[in-house]
Amino acid sequence: MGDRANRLGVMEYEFRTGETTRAVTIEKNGERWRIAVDGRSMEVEAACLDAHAYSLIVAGRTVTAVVVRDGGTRHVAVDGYVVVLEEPGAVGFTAAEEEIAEGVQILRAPMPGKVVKILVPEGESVAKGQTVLVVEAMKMEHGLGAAGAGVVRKILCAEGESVTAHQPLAEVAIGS
Amino acid sequence: MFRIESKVDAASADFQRNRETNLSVIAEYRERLTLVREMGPKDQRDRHIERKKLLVRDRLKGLFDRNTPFLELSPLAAWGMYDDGAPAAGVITGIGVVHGREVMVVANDATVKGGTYFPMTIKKHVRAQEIALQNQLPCIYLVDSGGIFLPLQEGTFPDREHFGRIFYNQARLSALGIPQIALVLGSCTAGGAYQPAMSDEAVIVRKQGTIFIGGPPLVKAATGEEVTEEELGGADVHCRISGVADHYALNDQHALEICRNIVKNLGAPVYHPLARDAVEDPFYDPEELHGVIPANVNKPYDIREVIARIVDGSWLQEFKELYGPTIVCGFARVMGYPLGIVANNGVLFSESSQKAAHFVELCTMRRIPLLFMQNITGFIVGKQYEHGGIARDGAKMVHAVACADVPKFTLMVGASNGAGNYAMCGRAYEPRLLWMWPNARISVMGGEQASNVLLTVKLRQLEKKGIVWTDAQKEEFRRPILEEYERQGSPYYSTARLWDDGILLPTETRAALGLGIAMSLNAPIPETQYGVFRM
Amino acid sequence: MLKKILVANRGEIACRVIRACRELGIPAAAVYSEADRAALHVALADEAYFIGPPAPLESYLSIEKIIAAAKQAGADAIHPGYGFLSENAAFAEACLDAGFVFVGPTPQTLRLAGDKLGARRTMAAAGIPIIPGMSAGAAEARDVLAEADRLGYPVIVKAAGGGGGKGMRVVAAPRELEESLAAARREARGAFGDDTVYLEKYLARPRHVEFQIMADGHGQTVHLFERECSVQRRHQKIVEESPSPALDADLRARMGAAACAVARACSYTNAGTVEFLLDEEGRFYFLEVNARVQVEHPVTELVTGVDIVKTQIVIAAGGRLPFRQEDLSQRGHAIECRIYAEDPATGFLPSAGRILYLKEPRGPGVRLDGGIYSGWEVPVHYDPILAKLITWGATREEAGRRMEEALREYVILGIRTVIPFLREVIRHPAFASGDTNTGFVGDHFASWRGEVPEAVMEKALAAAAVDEVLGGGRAAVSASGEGAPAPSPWRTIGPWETGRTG
Repeated sequence: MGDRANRLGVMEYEFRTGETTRAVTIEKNGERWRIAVDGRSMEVEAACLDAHAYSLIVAGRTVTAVVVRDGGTRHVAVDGYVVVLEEPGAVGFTAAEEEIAEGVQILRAPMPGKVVKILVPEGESVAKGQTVLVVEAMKMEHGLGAAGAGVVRKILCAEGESVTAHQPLAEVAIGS
Repeated sequence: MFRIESKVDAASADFQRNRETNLSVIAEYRERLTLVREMGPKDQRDRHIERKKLLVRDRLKGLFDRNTPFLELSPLAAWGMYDDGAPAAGVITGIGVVHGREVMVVANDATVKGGTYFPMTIKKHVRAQEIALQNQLPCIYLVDSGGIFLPLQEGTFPDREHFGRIFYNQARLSALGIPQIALVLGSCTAGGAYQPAMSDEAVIVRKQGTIFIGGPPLVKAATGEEVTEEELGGADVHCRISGVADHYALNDQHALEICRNIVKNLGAPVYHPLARDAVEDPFYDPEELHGVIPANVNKPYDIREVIARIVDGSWLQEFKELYGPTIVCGFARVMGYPLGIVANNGVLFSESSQKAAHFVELCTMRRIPLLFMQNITGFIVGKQYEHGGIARDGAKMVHAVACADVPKFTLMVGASNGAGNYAMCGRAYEPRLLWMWPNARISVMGGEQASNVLLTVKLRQLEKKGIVWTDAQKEEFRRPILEEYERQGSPYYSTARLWDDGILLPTETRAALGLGIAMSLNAPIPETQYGVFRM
Repeated sequence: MLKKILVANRGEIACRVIRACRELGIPAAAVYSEADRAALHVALADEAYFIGPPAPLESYLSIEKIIAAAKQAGADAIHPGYGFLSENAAFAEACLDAGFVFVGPTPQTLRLAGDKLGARRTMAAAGIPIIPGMSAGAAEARDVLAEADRLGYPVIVKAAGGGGGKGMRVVAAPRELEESLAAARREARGAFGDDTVYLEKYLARPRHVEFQIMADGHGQTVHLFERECSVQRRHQKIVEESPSPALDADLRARMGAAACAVARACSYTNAGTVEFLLDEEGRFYFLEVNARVQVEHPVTELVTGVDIVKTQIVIAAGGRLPFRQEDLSQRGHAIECRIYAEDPATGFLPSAGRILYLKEPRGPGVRLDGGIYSGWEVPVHYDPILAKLITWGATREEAGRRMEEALREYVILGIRTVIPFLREVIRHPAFASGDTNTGFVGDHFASWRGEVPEAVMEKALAAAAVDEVLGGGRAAVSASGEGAPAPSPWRTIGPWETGRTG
């Protein structure tokens, strides 16, 4: 009754288990559900036992399953097994990762100031998060670090040099 | 409540004939829809994909929550216009769900003439904003447009409802606390630059989105300065230097994800507390509508047969069932939501007009949404009725409908002619949404009547000159009129020109109505104020 | 009889002891650390006393705090359960000194049982077979080498001060001996503050068979037959059963007699366990005495009909054993599976977290000793045992089938448990034929990763999809009485689109 009766169309889901992602679709088919796992289809009769437990009948065979959601994780118990399913994550980027995608990270002055220290000279390798140079601005020191392991490809400033905001100060080739 | 008792015989020849006709009409509609949903020409689409841009429908897919409905508006806008060069008028609008919240989306399709604005594109964009305003829906603009389609500047630039209205609306919507979010996924040139600039928050995709008042060619012509698009108004410029955009995205998917996060943090909407029941399927199968709707639009039938196949449990609490029987009024529920239904069941007489006005008052007093189901050839004519004050009683109904401030929805299920269109909440009466069934017809009067009226006038002129036409001459005169009315009365003609919010299939009406009512509850239902009813 | 018993433990055994107290009409007082305020044993007890931070040393292992809690409660006896302070002679002494009855053996017995070398000497003197090896601490490396030669390789270096696998080294050849000796010493010093180690003959794949003993303070000692505990992982038992498929009546009688002799040799009172190793030729060797109630005591209870925990209390109160050896017999067969919060697919790493859903099995011959409930957060500070599932059947096969079914019905979601692993163990042909030894898990499950069969995976995915579409009804299920208004069609209708879906 209720929402069940009014669900329309084919619902599509993806779940990750370990390294693999599985595609599941479900649509109402009369009193039953047509469910396809990676394209393989089955007809399922479903009844709720409690808030998490379901009694399913698949081709005449009963299956008792419990599904508990915990954020993006589904814990499923069936036939004495436990399966943990994860929702495929949303695309996660931050703006700082921009140049990394290109293989080159450009370290820019966060605001007008002075380059007080160049810690990694041109051509040397850096570890992820390692500070490459330090800019002093508004009496505060800002360390500019590598977003990933790589090599300092170019230093575009000198110690003691005054720089403007957004001015490129160094290039780091990530992953090289 | 009483369950409507259907008298339809699904085995009858009539039913089968209706069904055949309607299914072929629907098949034609689906074909046209499929064609339009391919969007721009293939070479344009390929180019778009080559540039690592998502096609507009994929953008929408990435924006909305998975497995949620999308109530698209006027997908067949500009159908048969502009040499069929602007499928969907080059913009997709509609209501979808982002993080559980209904939002209005306006998405340019750059594969259609670079996403430029035709007159119907503007009309569609402005209509979407109007719906957002009435229902207080956050607006998301997926901008990828070269601005006005220059060859048609006459119909796009200076008037009240032209291009400028888009930015006016953005400001006014924002002022009302209705969030305005723009995603710059391509060009935003000239006037288009204001779309992100006028937004509360703007996202721009690097090396893809650009915003500038004048593009490189214009700059070169004006000042001689040579500059690339990216240097002039790319993501780095606007996120790091100018501050015109607020969020820097790496690609379309990233921009959509940022947009979703923005919506997630808008704060919870407050829905109008409309008392809702559990949802119940109609007792009679909505599929049967195909056999219920007469193949011939002029053939009268009982509108209750339609209501029974749309409302919950086929229950209807009829009002004044025995009085003014050419209009059916009653309370029902759709997807659990209460609804007052006003449905034509013949020509409007004084009694039926008064009954409808009375019923509309009931609904506004109780703040219950209204559904108008139009199958109306007009008000009754003739000396007896004019003397009886049909104009006065018709005015009562028009007044009540015009002033009713509850969410109104209009569904054209058959004919929509003359003042009947007005009294039954036509486009001018601001229904929240107005849909046409594919079999519906809309015109000032039926083609038959119109050609006869015009012929009568013509014959009178000829009579003065002493000319008498043969029957063949009369037919010759009437045919083009009939043809013109047939063409212009078609739902495609209507939907192309945004006289409606789209064509709706009979079987999907119930779901669309449920979504429409739910959407309307984003705005409070106010008290209705009426003016002077002519008594 | 006793007036009030303080239960100085937590988890399933605390629950078990509290139930026994309440059955006897004795009020039970629980103790709890900061991590256990919401634990089941606290809710089950009549009284509860806070004993400090989660770290065991500052709560459940603090003699001072336990004694203080017992005083505060006005208890006259303390039951230590298993683990924690249960075999700590100093604790037993502190209890007695403070005027409490200690439900367990005397401090002297505990001290003797805790000293491996001393126990070996005592048992050898009493004529009990011990594993060939040294009866005093190893001194000069040269002497040790000679002893190893005499025993024949492989040999095992053990710490005199304790167990749990620490200070233990298996030596396969003479050249490894010196280094193993040094390593074992270092470990033993670190773990027990005593670097005394000794050498024993190493039995490669023995069975682990133990005898439950009970002795009262009136000179009566009996055994309640054996438990077979060969299925182990990381030197810890995981499946136990009684009777042992490896014993015949004669061997059982001889081992039972030996177990009683062991008990008498260390003047044992109350309940305890004598552990033996049994080799393939049917030779058995004394291993050690566990001077407490065992985790696996329920299998003995089901087979003998004796309530061991209640009897412990009766004995501690000065009562006599209510039965004699000849009154006892084994009826049917019982199997126990320990339900640990561990992930068997990752080498049994503990898995802490919240129990999101719990459904315990039911049925004839099914007993569940648990300490958990749905919604409980399993603390990271303690032993990861959640519960014990015990089945009884007229035959071993029946008990096994009941266990298999019970494990299939058992649902614990939110944390990883060994349930799927246990089911594989019970189903394994080697287990079914009773062919178990301490190498069982290593031999048959070394490469076991807990793969879920594709057919099961598909059902799980189907169930997850059903939950997606019906989960919206969850609110309606849980809402009381009046049906809550249905959620907006925008959230329930699905991927509807104009012109696409009817």
